[in-house]
Amino acid sequence: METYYKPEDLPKFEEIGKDAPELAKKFFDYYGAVFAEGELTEREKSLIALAVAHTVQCPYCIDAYTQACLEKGSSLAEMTEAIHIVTAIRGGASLVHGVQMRNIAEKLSM
Amino acid sequence: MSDGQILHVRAKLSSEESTPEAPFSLTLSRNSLKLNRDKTHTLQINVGFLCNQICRHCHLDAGPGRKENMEAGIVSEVISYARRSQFETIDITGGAPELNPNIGKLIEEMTSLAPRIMLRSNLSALNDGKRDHLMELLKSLRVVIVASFPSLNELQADSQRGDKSFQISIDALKKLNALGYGHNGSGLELNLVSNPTGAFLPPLQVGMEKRFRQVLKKKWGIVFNNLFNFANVPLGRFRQWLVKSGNFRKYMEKLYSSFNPCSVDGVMCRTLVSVSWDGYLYDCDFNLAGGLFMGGRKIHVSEMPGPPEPGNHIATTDHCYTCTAGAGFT
Repeated sequence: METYYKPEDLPKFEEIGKDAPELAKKFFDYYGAVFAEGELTEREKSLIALAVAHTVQCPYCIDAYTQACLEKGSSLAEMTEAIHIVTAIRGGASLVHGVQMRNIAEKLSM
Repeated sequence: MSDGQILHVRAKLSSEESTPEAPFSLTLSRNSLKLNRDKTHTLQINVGFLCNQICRHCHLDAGPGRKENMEAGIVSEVISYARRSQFETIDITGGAPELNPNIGKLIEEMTSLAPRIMLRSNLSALNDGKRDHLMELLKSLRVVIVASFPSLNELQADSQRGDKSFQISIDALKKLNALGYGHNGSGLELNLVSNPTGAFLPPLQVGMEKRFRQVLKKKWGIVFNNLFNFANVPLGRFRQWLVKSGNFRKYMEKLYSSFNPCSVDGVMCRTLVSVSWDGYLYDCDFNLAGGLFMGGRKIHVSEMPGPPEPGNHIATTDHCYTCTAGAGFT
């Protein structure tokens, strides 16, 4: 079935540099540096990336960072907990705006 | 199923089982590399394919139904070979080597012939309630235990090795710790082997060892000496699973694209010779599983005057990409 998202497109990511090579180089250098071992381990960074991938709902990122998490030694339980953190923050972000709703409603109400 | 559907399934299977972009031998020559023997210091003895488990990643397709098991006559021939070869290490594997009736004799004889004896264990066979005498023998002879422990996650470990295998392994490790195994300074070495629980490569060893050490100690009070992370080899039951699950082609591509020329110098086949349950020699346990005889020639252990000569050709095929992926498989 034809779809906008094709798994075979993921390895073509670097082709984005064809018409703006300098910007692409800056981006990919930065990207590589971000994911290198630092104060956080590569495993921890992959778990964060997996969570963010679900937040931005990017199928390419979910594919890439599911594999990365497994290859960095994270378990399915850890990966699932990371997704629950996303869900809690996203759900909480909606719910906490209920305070605004209540403030406005209270001002308008008798 | 119609003819059209059958053709479709066959075409899919054929494409799924396609080999990597380049044969392993071609990749070696493209990198100006040759894979020849160094000094052979390890004799690996595969005592047979009989096992109490049916692990999904097993490259040998070992299990309870397998009849191939090293008999007493071959055991004696292997002992004679070790006597005339003076290996530094004897590495005993299977199947589950604990289930071979000659295992006690083999270990006892080998301890006088090599300074380091290793037994690869799935832990469940060793701790099945019938082999306390074997545990005591291993302890008294200071045999190194190399135990399968794929994952810190119970569900993933059980998915690879069978129901309850994780808890059984934890119980066995506690028992080995109680005997003194795994404690620094005890002289009783307990090493763990972790394999990925699917079609992906293992993490770097250093970080994982630290994590395994922390988690096993914190949750169960378990200690060990070293952790080895090994990639799964696309042979036997693991290969069948890769094909059936549609992961074979991508897994082979991953192995191929992870080829690290620097790893070739340290691959185990350069310093190890493997003898099968029926006494024939192979360059490694994976070539044994794939039916690739040592150097491409069928030689029985009884014919060998000593260790294979340095410089001898090593038989290779596409599963060899497993040992050269990333940090390598030593």
